Amino acid sequence: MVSGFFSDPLYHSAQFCAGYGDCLSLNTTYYFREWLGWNDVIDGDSAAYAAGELFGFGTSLVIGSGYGLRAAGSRGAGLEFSHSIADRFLKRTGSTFVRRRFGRSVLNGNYVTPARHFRHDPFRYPIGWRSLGPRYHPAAAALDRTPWLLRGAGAGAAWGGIGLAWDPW
Amino acid sequence: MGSLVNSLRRLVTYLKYGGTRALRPYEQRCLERLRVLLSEDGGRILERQLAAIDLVQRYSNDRLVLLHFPEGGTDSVERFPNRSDECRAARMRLRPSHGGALTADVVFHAGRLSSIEFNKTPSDPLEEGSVIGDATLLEDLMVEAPGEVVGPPVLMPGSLLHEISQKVQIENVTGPAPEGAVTRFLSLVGAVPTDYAGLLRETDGFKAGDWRFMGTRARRVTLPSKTLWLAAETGQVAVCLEEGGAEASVLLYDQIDDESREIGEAFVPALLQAVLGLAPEDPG
Repeated sequence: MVSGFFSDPLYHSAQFCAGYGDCLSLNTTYYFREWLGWNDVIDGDSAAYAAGELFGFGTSLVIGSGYGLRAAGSRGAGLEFSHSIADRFLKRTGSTFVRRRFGRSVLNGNYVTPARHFRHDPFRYPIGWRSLGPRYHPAAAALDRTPWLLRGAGAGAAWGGIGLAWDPW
Repeated sequence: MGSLVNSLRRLVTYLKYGGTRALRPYEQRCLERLRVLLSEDGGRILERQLAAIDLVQRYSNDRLVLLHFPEGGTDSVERFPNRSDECRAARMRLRPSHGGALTADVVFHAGRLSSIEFNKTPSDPLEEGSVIGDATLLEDLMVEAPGEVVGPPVLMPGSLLHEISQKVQIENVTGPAPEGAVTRFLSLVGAVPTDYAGLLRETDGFKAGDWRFMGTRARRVTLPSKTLWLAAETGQVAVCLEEGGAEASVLLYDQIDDESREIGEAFVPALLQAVLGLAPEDPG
């Protein structure tokens, strides 16, 4: 058995790619290879395969965060910032950095329409709020205020985590 | 089967919106008192609306009670002819068995009950022995909302409006509301800066950049610790007055950061500061 990457780069690259694909596809690729009878050339215990799996986890995390970042929106016409942790709590830290840099960043909220802001924030009364219907249940409101960036990262981590933890070997 | 569907619908409503279906005794008493103030026809419409209430939500330490009707069934609830966006129909004084007196406003939106707004948090003893004292009908629910303008705006040199127009560009300027409406509005707000009362007698609204001076249609926002009247606003930030304050003061209220801070004692300079973006920074 070869020991270093440079001793057989093709072999190690194959292990790495198999681990990467297995993690991202939640092992669909493993079963596909199994069906084709190709798994005898893959070593699920190899370091290269494990590295591929870890890289797959990272990719999933980055993709999820990217989608989350896009969903969080940005300052634009008709959108306003909605805090996840309200400024009145951040104010207690006494730090302008915490209030302005973290507080108003996509790590702590999303850009939403005034109507949606009204529905999940009991302190927001946009013009015409009386025609917007009821506000969300406090639990649903807290969930709706969760930053999309964190939700996306969480979903990506969960997907990659399942791929990583589920070992069909 | 019908009751099962109803129970499921209520469960879904609760999971989605929380709140309750029933009014508390003192809230019920406020609405009963309003019914007495109304004409026979008005009382009948109010009773139908009360029977149709589907969801009650309470905010700001129970000072703001929002009343909702079934989704999609809005047309089945008979409306009052006064369909204004925010019709503050009545103000009544409550005398709880313990604690100080408080006031309750009953507000309608588009001809339907919208909220009961207390100026203080109702205390627990109020649940049992509260008595409704004076009650005043502020607007007639049975007539359509009156037009906004009674005359041209006062823009002559020396007027407050003229002073504002010298500093910022103003547009969509309307004439003042009728004197009766201005007086009634000012009595609801309480202590106000002299120049604010003067400005209301010159105009009932104008636009300056992103800002809109709301005149007698200023919105009232009930927060846990105070009640604000948004005299001029952008939709996110407002120059406002605190209801019930011993002395008149002008505040800048940011709804995104949920913070308000005093920016002066006179209204017009404070408004100009806000419009020109010169309001002092929040000290943190």
